[in-house]
Amino acid sequence: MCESRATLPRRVAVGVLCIGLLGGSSRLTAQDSLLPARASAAALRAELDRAEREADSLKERVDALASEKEALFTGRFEAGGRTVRFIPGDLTDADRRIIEEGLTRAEASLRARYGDDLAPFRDPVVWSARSLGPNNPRGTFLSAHRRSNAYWGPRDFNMTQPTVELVEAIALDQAGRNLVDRAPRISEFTRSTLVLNDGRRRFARAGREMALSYASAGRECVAGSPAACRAVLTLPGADGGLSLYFSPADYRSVVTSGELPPTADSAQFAARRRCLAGSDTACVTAVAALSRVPNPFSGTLRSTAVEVALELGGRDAPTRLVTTRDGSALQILATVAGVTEDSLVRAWQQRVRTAMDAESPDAGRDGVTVAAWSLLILFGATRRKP
Amino acid sequence: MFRQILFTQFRWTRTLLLLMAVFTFVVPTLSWNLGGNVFAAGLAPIAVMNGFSTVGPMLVLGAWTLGFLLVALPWGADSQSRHVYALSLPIPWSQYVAMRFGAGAITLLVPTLALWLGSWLVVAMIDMPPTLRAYPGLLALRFFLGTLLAYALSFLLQYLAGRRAAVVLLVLLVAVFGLGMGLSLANQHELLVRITLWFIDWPGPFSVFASEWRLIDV
Repeated sequence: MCESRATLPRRVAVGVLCIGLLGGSSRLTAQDSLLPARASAAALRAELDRAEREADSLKERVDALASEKEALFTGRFEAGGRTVRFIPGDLTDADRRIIEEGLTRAEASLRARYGDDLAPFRDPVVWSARSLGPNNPRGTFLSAHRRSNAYWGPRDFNMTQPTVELVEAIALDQAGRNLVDRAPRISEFTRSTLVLNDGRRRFARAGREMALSYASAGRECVAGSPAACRAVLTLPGADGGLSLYFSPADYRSVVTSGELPPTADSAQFAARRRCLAGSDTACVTAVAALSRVPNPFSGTLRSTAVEVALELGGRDAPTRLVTTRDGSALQILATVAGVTEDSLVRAWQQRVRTAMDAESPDAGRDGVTVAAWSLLILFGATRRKP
Repeated sequence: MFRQILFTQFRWTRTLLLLMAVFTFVVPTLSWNLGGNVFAAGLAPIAVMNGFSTVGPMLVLGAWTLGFLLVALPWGADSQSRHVYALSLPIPWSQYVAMRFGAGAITLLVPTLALWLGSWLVVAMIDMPPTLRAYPGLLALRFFLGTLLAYALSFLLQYLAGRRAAVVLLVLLVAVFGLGMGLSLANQHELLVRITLWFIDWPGPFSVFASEWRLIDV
């Protein structure tokens, strides 16, 4: 077996197995098998070296192709404080105009809200626009690239149907991301998200997320408890937010979504099973055994609090957000807003509830539409006699 | 005269109305039994919402079925007598058609009321999380509007195409399918999306079906 000809992974596996077998066998067997095993190991090493050389060569080829592709982006245009590069002949004039207008509108929107100092929102990235390809010549990729791809690759925004509104939304999304990326605590708080458009809907979605959450803190916040809202806007400690977000009544849901450690023993699995079967006491044990409790609230939800802080803080708020480094995320946001933490929490809670009320289901509009269409249809139906 | 037309409409469609009333009455309970078991394990409010997730699709299907059949049955009875009764009435044809339409629309209230009662019943039986609210009235209203629209479209087709309604419907369906396929093959996705959105976005004719048909929501 140890001298068989086989594929590389198989030979590695066989080699490892042989070494194990040789180690565990008698001295006589070891001496008999040592020479062939050494020969096999040498062959393996040679093959590995060759594969490594091939991989290096391929990498060089990929880098060369990437450089060639980069060299094609010779076109440049400025819009909304950004430089966008493109491949001449690839981007249609119509799409270029859409991108220019969208970026300009985004900048105007930021300027109207935060004044002329937009440095905290500026891109540390190069934007490029390119066609989606022959299947969709009207479509365009708008990409935001880091100058160096060391830790963050390009973000491609697929614009199958480019519109000014879409480009504006992409630019505002990127501006929000740029801002929170400059404030590490806030970036951690919002998971690098800060959307600066479509305000009311986002607040309503935040309220919906809390109302439907399996964490009682979220549900109580929507029900009106400022303390619960404060908990929602606090990042969890070492226990993964177990004491912060959840009540014992939520433990069954926590067990469902949490993860047991890979080293969990049979008692821990049994506790989990009993918990899911309905035992509250087993849930306490099962929750304590979890290695990871997922955060029940999204970064997008928490980013709405950043938006409220920026609104309350006025024109210098983005600068304060970037320059304030001490304290928890909530403390930083209170400083940015220029109010106390409790006031900020209450203001955020109020915004969420107002947005939820405005988005509550209503069939009035449907009623008017159906009535109008039905009358039109009835008029059509009376036009012909049998 | 309208009372007489309403009476005949009700008599011709009473079995259908009874069956649909039973169907709409049991839909919320059925949906809860199909998807609501997870709540028994003490899961989040979203589990309660998911428990009723099949209510919407079932009612949309019911609305179209009821709308079509509610037109076809009276038309069949009328056309058997070659519309002699309708044409012998001392009123214009358009007025007769309008009254026939109105009578059918009123009978739609029967399954709508059954749905409203069935929804209340199932909502009363479950322990609702405080952040959720039940919307039995809103759901019943949406069902009524959806059924009314399906009924109106069937009415238009039947009263314009007469006995050839089935053939015209088939041709229409083939045309719609062919248009969709043609636009897709011609890479005109944008146009296809625009046409679709015109129909389902407010104030498009099918916007009521694009709304959320939910019994439980936040």
